[in-house]
Amino acid sequence: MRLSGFLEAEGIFLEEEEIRKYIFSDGGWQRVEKFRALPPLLRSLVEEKKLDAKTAEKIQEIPEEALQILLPALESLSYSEHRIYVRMFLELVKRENLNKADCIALAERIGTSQDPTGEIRKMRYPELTGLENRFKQIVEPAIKGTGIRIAPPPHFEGSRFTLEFQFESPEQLNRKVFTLQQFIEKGNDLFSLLR
Amino acid sequence: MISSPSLDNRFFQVYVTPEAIDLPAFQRALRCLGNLPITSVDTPEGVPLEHRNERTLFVTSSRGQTVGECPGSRGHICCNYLTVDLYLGCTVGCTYCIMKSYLNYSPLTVYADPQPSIQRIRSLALKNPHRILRVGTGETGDSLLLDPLFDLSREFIEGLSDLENVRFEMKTKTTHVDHLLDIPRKGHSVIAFSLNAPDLQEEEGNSAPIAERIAAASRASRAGYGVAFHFDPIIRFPGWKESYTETLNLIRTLPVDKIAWISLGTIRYPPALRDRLEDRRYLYDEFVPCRDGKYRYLQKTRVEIYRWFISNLSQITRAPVYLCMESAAVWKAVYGAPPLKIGFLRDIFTRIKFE
Repeated sequence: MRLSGFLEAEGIFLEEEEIRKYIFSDGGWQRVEKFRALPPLLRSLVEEKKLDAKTAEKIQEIPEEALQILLPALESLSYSEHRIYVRMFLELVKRENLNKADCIALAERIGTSQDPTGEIRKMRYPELTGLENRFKQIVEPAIKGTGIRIAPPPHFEGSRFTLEFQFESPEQLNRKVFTLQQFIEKGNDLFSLLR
Repeated sequence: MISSPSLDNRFFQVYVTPEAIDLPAFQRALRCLGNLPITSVDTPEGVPLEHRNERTLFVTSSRGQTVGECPGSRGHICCNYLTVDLYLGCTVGCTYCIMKSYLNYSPLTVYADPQPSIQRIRSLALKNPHRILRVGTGETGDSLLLDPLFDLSREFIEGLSDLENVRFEMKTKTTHVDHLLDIPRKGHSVIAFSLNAPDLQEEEGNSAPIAERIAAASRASRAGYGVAFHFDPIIRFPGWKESYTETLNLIRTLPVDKIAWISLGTIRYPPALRDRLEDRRYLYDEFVPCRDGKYRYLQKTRVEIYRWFISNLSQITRAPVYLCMESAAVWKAVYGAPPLKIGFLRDIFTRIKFE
């Protein structure tokens, strides 16, 4: 639709060139056109500030029936989290080349999950979440309840784990060191998570 | 000079700065480009907006800094490669091309006066007599895509041929080597080919098929050049091992003692580029942010990939195999040590006195 048609419908009777000069760059007008082309569900989400326009444009490939199942499940998320998780869902759809029925089935699986965001993340990043789970399996039994904290490098990228604990007496220090010694002596594949 | 059929009809117009008009390289190119409109402009900004695209050639003399150090990547180990901008930009059209993130000028730019760069390399070589200098023209464009037109590589090859400690590398995804085969003094020049899995050919735009690149490598090595191979970016996909094995088997057909080096690098991209990369399924694999801000496969995945390549390459060649833009942690996991502590990689990774 030409800018003049839009303005007429809105009751604004300025020459098109004037409007372009004062309000829109050419790129800005293209964004308006893209917004107007969004399906009603996505358009209303942008208008309600539940989703940014750029993400709404990207996720148009997701069938509306799937979005209608998925979005309520993500209702409690912040604005930026919302964006992250719907994009992850889209990437899953593209990676697996899902047809409409499979897409809806995936949305239903996530929508009925007790942890929708965890479910999306696990499917989108199966190896990374696998490493995280394996790390917990190795470390938690040894140090749970001891006040010792062991952390992997961010995203398991690097060669160093981080160890933290506090103590306020020699006895307390001894106990924590003993716990760590046992952790080492029992042997584990902690370092295999990085290589 | 041979005009490559793959360059026919590629360009629609040529812009040239006044001081470049009489340069030998431009005059050579005119024999093939003379039927195109040629306009003199003082600066790159003189090229009209509507012609700032990959159908335009912009030819000028040398740029300010003639030889640079490869920028490497923060927090990752660098091989101290030296770079010369000769052909800036590329029309091969690989879907994963990272140059989209840092090249903002679309006409293909040719720096047609190689002499300042050659003299600078000679000066660095003399300042570092006990070091090997590896210097290449393939950092910001394909070294040989336009070389049949301008024949600039010849000037480098001949101009550096007497220097025992210089390895001049031309890196390409084409088969444009035949115009270089008859150069009598090749020195220690190396013609390098970017390689990938045959199943990824469609991701590499107008590049030559892998088998043809290997055939070109064969011609180059028989003519007396060293050859090198760069598996970069390595992309993981279902059946990747079988597909990359096809490429490795092609390398087996070469005189392997002529292989100067092989580099490995898994796919990586800055986050700002993610939306500009074409929407390909391989981008939906698992990528995590690394210390330099770029996204790469999980460290464990990269280590597995590199170990596979090194194990298989070691059965083919004794050429040094090194990692490109990788972290110390990955080096340690793959090789057991950083490169300066590995004898056969020391020459590649030892810094030179640059100033």
